[in-house]
Amino acid sequence: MTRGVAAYTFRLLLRSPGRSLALIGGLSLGVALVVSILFFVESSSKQLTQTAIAPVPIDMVGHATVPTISQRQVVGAFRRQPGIQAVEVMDAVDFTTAARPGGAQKTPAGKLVAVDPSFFQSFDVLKVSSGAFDPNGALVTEATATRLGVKPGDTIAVSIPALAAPYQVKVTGIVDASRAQMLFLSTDPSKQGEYQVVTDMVVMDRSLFNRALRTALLGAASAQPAPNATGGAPVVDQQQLIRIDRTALPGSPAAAQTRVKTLARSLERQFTGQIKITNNLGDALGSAKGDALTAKILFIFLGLPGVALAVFLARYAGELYGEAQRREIGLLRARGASSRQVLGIAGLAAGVLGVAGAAVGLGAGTLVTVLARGNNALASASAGTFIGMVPWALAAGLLMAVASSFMPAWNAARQNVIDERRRIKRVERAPFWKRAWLDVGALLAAGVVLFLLNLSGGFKPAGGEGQTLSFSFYLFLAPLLLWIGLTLLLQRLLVKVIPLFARSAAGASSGFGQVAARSMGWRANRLTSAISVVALTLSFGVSLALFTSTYNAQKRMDAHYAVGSDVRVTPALGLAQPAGLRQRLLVPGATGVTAVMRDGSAVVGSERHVVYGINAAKFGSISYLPDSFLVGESATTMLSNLRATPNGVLISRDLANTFSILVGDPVLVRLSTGGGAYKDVRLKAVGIFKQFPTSSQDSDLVMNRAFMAQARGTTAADFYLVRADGTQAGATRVANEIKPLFGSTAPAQVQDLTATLATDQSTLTSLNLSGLGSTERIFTLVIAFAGFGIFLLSAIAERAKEFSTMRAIGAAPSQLRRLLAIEGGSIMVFGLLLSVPVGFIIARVLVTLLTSIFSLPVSGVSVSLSPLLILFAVSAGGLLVALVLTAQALPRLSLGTTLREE
Amino acid sequence: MATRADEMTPPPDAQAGRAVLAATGLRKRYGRGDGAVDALRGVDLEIRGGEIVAVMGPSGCGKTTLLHVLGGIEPADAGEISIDGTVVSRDERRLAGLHRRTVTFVFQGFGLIPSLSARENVEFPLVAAGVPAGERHRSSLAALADVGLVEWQHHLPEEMSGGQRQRVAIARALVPNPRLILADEPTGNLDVATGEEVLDLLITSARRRRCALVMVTHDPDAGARADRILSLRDGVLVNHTEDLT
Ligand SMILES: Nc1ncnc2c1ncn2[C@@H]1O[C@H](COP(=O)(O)OP(=O)(O)OP(=O)(O)O)[C@@H](O)[C@H]1O
Ligand SMILES: [Mg+2]
Repeated sequence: MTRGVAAYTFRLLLRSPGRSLALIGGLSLGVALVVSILFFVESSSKQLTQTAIAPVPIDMVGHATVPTISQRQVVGAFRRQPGIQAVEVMDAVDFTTAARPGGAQKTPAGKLVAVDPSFFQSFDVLKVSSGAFDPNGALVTEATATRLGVKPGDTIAVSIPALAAPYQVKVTGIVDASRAQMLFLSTDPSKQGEYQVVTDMVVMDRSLFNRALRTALLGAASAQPAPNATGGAPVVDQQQLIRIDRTALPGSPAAAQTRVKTLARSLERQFTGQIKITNNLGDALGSAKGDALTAKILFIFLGLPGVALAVFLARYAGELYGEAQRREIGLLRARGASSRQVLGIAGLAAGVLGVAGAAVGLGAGTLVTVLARGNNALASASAGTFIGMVPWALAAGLLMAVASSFMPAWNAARQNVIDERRRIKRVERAPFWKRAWLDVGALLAAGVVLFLLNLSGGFKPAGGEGQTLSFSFYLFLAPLLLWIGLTLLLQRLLVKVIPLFARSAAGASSGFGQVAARSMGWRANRLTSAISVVALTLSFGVSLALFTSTYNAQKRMDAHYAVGSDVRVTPALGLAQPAGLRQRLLVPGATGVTAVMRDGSAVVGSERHVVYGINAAKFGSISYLPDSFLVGESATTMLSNLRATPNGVLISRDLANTFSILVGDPVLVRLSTGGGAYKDVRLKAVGIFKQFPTSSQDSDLVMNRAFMAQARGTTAADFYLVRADGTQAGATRVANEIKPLFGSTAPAQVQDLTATLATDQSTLTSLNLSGLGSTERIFTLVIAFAGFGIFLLSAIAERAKEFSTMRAIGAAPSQLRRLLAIEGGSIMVFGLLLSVPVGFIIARVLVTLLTSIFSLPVSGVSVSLSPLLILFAVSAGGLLVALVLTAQALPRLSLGTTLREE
Repeated sequence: MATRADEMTPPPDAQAGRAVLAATGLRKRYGRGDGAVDALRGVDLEIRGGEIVAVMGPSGCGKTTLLHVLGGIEPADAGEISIDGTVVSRDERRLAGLHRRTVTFVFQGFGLIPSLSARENVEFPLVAAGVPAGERHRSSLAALADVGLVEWQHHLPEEMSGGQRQRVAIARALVPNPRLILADEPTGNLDVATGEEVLDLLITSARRRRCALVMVTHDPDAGARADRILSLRDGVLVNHTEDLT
């Protein structure tokens, strides 16, 4: 019997090839959408991995935990380990100060490091900027050279506690150590796991180090059994810097992290108890892991409405042949098939259709991905990626087949039984959702979820410090419910509104316009489906376009906020700044420069806070300070209030709340004046801000620079904000003009918008959504086109008799085309018009999800017109093509046959 | 209600003798090869102005096919049709144009457009012909008045009885002032009494407007009321000289 079922199923599928093909077409559309979203997830997951590991200069660092280890042996063993590209040895020793023999200038505490010449090739954390790395001398950092006024050829004396006398060494060159932040773990126990910023370094050849210092230092270490008595590291910090083969890492952050963790463990195991590995790469990937999951959920969610529409389309297409199916089932039952057999046949048919849809969809999805995102969208995809896609495609295909093919058959079978038993005619009943008011319920539920989320601050990042953003899943509930609610509500309203509209249109028109209006009112149900498909599909496109443009705008705003203006220039710490720097920063393209002072260790109450000193007269026109950053007042007013009050201070809302400070209240601040000294100032609160440019902390204070300079007894600016024209390109141009101003003698960090956008800290905000946008634009177009085409074709098929009669009583083919064009045109116009508000509402809720990703709150939907116009133009074009193509079916109506059917 | 005497009046005007429509050698074949059916196998006929012709014959003999071919709904495979002496079958455009102005249809299944009211249905041929709205309105109301359905002008077909629907269809066939009405079993879907009334209406209206009428019927009584009966057997006219007048 099973064979009978199978054979019958195949015959059934082949008997109405139109129905089978329509269903496979619809299913493959949905599968293709799923597949191309997965491709996008795959590549953005890879992108997240890349973004996370790109800034890591040294993948792993091994630290000897015992002084007696043989570096040569360790390096040899590590280099043999598969997956390792380079291992370099570095010995580091703390020095208390360095100076020219007999000179008055002294450096603060720093590091003396010894490396092999090959180090410079293996890693680019240290770069010789002048002179040369010489086995008989040492390099010093630019900061040290500037402080001591030394140049290659001079000699310096380095004071190391374990040595009786300062070690004298010849300077052979200057090294740029600006990328060396990750070389040294902090020795301060309270900052465990954090990196130590070392500005003063002496870099020497290991052969010289071994000859001149190692014995003395290691001797000192053994003579002093507890060199770490103060909590410091061993006298000689013996490190192995490891670079792994990053190209061999898996694409997803989670898998990549597992891989590097395993690698680190296997390295440690070779020297158990002697080596401890710091896994920089693993840590970076850890934070990307959560982001990747969030991105995956986000993208899948964004595509979900499209998949739902594809299912609807498949079902709608299948329904066109629904009468045939009901007849088939009736016939089967008449021949004595049991309910189970009928269901078996329907199930098997759905399975075959699902698999076929999955296969076609897999191909189509790949094709769309290439079409939308170019050939290199797949460049990173391996065979494994493709194979990994198969189960998803199959699952999607089968699920959709159940929804679009099996369920209707099952309903029909049940209907048949009822018919037989009760011998009653099928009664048209309102669908379940309508009777249960599911649409209104879903909308209310969406509102409640949104309200609760707002109430509990659910859109705020969960952790304070952690970059990983854990999305709560029910964040996605709101847009999902909203979408379902709007979809159903649209159906309910359209069915009511279309006849009313048609009636008044018929009253206002005459001739074929009137005929068309009457016909539309008559087919309100069908028209509702068609308009809904077009409107919902386009609204899907609209909401995605708005989501993407908001994401991009938010990304730019965040970068602006982080930089403070278009460009920020931070001269190296504690160095004398070139004279007239502020004037010189006014390079071509720069429209303004303002200096900002920063005191990172001021004290308010009993806590440390950051205090900024700004020039209130210029700050407003140069920095990025929108009114939305401020509480109660415009930026202009608040800055002029600050300017009018020399001891005025702007405080963050958090701080104001903590200390219950109101505008007008006095604020006592201890400003640091260097060397652990403080100066108390009495300030007056003149304004409260929510965010302040350049300050990522929420608990800062902003005061007048002049007042601050006077109190601290220094006029040195900590950084400069430079205004270009506000565009990325402008910022880059100005930054490129500024960079050459700083030679190796006075290094400065130049941050601009573009660079900040590219190396954003949170990997989630660095994604490029344009690929997703263009992929889903293609699907928007295809679904709208197919849905509209199917409607028109079914309209012609259903009304073959009517159209034939019209021809017989005098209508010319061109007149029938006109009739179809009026109906089709109305569907198009209504669909397009409705898609805008629906898309906008959905986008509005979707962008609330962005709040948790970006540092600035999302204030609303950013509309960028051109993608919307492109979407509409392309869709309208597609719909017109569908109209023209389907109108070709009109003259092919065989009048004789249709009119004979009485 | 028209009287019997009324409809027995012979074709009055001078035009009566001239052919509204003439056909020679009409052939129509459906399908190909073994399964092919020759629905028409050489039909010659002539319909004179104002005359009422009944087409009779067994089921499947080609009556509907003949009407469709004469009315330009289906093209003939061979043969020639001329309207008022102009050959139309060679040029599809002219055929369509001339046909639309000269010949109208009444179907067994009424063929009303379900979304249009009775009056709008009657108006449809005028809309298609591009008649101005005011004139359309007057003509369609007059036609509805002729079939006694002015009060029903705003009703949809589904709100009317079968007989009423066919009367609307008759009004629609009359409204363009055709020279010839082709009716395919106009009473086939109606009960006997209603059928009688509808037939009556059709014949009287045609007579009053001096419009020729070719109707397919299985009803010998209906045939008896025609001026002439054409008997069709297997796609050929037999006996077609039978003239009742
Ligand atoms: N589309 C078609 N394909 C094949 N055969 C056809 C087609 N249309 C009609 N026929 C055949 O042509 C012949 C004539 O059909 P037609 O409808 O003209 O008969 P009829 O005389 O009107 O019959 P009835 O009294 O039953 O209405 C029939 O044998 C019919 O089966
Ligand atoms: Mg017939």
